[in-house]
Amino acid sequence: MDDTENELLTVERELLGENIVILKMSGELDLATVHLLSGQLKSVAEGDREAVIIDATQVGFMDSTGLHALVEGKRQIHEAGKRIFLVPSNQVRRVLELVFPDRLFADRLDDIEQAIEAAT
Amino acid sequence: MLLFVLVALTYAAGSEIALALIERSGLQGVFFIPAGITVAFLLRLQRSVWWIVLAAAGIAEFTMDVLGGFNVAQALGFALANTAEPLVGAGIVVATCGVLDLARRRHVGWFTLGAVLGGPALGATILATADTMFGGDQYWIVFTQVWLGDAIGVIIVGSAILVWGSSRDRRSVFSLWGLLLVIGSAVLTVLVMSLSDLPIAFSVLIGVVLAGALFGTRAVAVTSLVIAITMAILLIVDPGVLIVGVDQRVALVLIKLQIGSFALAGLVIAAEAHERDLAVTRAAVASMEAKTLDQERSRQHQLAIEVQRGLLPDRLVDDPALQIAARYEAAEEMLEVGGDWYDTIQLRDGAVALVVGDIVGKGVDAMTSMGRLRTAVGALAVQNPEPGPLLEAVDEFVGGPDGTDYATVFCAILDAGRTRLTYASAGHPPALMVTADGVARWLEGAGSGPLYGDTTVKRSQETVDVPPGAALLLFSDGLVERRGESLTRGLERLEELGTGLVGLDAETICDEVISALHLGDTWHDDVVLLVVKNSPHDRNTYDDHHPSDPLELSRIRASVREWLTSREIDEPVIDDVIIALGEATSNVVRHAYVDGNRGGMRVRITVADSSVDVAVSDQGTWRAPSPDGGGMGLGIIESIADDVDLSTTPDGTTLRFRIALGGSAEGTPISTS
Repeated sequence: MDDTENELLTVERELLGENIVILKMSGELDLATVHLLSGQLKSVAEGDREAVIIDATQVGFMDSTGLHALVEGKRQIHEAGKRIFLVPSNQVRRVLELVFPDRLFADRLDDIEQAIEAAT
Repeated sequence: MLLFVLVALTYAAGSEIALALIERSGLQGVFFIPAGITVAFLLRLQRSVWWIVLAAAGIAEFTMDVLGGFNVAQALGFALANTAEPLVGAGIVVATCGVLDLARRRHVGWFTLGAVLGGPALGATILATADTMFGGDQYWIVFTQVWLGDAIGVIIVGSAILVWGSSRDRRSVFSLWGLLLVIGSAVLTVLVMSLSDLPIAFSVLIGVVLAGALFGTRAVAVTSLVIAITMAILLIVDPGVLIVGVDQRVALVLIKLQIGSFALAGLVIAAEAHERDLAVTRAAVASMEAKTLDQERSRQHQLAIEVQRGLLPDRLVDDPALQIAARYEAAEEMLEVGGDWYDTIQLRDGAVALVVGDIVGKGVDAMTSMGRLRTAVGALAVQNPEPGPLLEAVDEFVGGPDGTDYATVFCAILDAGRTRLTYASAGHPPALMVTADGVARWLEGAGSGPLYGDTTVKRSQETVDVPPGAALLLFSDGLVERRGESLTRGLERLEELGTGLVGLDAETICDEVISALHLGDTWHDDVVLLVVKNSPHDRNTYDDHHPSDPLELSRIRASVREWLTSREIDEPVIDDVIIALGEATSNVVRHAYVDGNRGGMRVRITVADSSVDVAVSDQGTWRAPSPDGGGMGLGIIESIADDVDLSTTPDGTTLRFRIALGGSAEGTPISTS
């Protein structure tokens, strides 16, 4: 099991242009897999790209540990002066809104194109 | 004194009648009544008063003789004869039989030998001698006449007196048929003796035989008496009725022999019939006693079985994710009962231990040893949740102060996920696993010798996968063993049942196996059978155990989603259940087991009318929610679900919540289309 995937979750890292990193996740985000996302977000925060788009449209399940990783990642990225965008699946959006009814992420993004547009 | 007078008067009266008979017929009397009277009195009275009877009889005889014209010496001789005779006769009978019972074959024999023949022989000897001494010249004639006369007096009159008070006859002679028989015999006697010259008096025997066979001893006595009196009267009225063509004296002897034979035959038949009745009664009593004994044995057997059942576990592990059933069948022979047991033990990490064992030996000792060993295994399993080490610990117990004789044990531990079974056997027959596709597999690895207190023996263990729907059959050898057959053949027979058990629940499997292997009427040996089925969830309740492991969380969610989908729950409701369940199960993994010992968790979900009710429990104690999402997780559950309840007991923690079927927490009504 390497840093980017296990049997439950795959995180693909793509670069878009000079500045944008896209983290394309598919699978389930829970206690067993959350470290994969945390690690990627940490490396983005510490890296030289200025924006990250998390494509979570293929995430079938995210629990509070995944949400915690998002919150923590967002904080690290903002502290690094960078921007973060999330394109959630319905399930991810549902969990997000349960905990943060007033939105954790400012932009409501329905698909990756909207995210890319917002990021560039 | 009263007795003296009574005997004397009776004797005198009898004597008078006898003498009258002798005188009137001009012949020697047919039978000498006083001989019967005296001996009968003796036999019915205590020996301590015999002297009174004998004195009375002697004095009466002497008096009568003197009054009758005999000289004193003759009278003394007669008196001696008539007291010595009954004394010897009664003495022989009492010495051989004790209290005489003429309904007994042996008593009739001694009565005949002693009182009928022996005593009168003595009396006749004395009397004939006295007669000769005083000028008589017919010693043998006198002897024979007196002997037979007295003998018939005893057998006719004596037996009549002796059995008079007896009510042991099958039928009373004083009934209609009895009286008809007696009167008929008398009439027959008259007919055959007076109407024909032919010697057919023997036909009178019929009456006596009937009396003996159908009525009894008393009827025989009465009938014989009546026949004898009838014959005597006939002889008095007309001596010509005697058998023609022979000397009158010889004819008289024949008549006497005839009467005596009739009476004796009747008595023998009556005694025989009575003995048969007795035998039948005895057989009935014996059979009743045997039945009572059987009942007692059966009661003890039942008691042994009850004790054995009492030593077996009251209940099996209650785990709706598993079907567990067990049977104990007692050996038919009481001495074979005892020693086999089964048990299921809930272990701390959610695993379940399954045990069957057999104490070598039978009976009460084996039973009580079994009780101790079963309890010990249960206690040791909690500390040694691995079959191999568990058997080693049990072996140590077996060798200890509370130990037992040799024991064989099969012990298996089913993990919390109910997918893997680890087992070990100490000299016990293997267990059988039958998978849902009907494949039977023996769990015959990890074998070692029986437990006998040797702590140096290492017990290995093996692990097998238990597919969903598989049934495990643990048993003792009594289930498969047959006399005169190898154990292998018995195991094959069980294995052949394999495919037939597919799709059955654990209870039915028990019943099927028991009835299929119960070939004869009985079990020769005790039998225990423990069946555990890794059951699919039923329609309305999901209930499963899972290990507390991060990688298991996804599996739990998938399994529950699949089950809820099959229950046709609306998708948004399922999504919410999964979100809340994900948080609850994640909490268990993160918080329940603080000491690093990974326990299990149990997930129970019930679909009710208006909600899905979820309970997630563990055997740990939750730490305070940490900031890494734990508190957030409970918040998520609370915002989705109703009636959220977190309860902690010494046994563990259970989180319950309920998600309404009617609509999601977002408040969007479910479409009613």
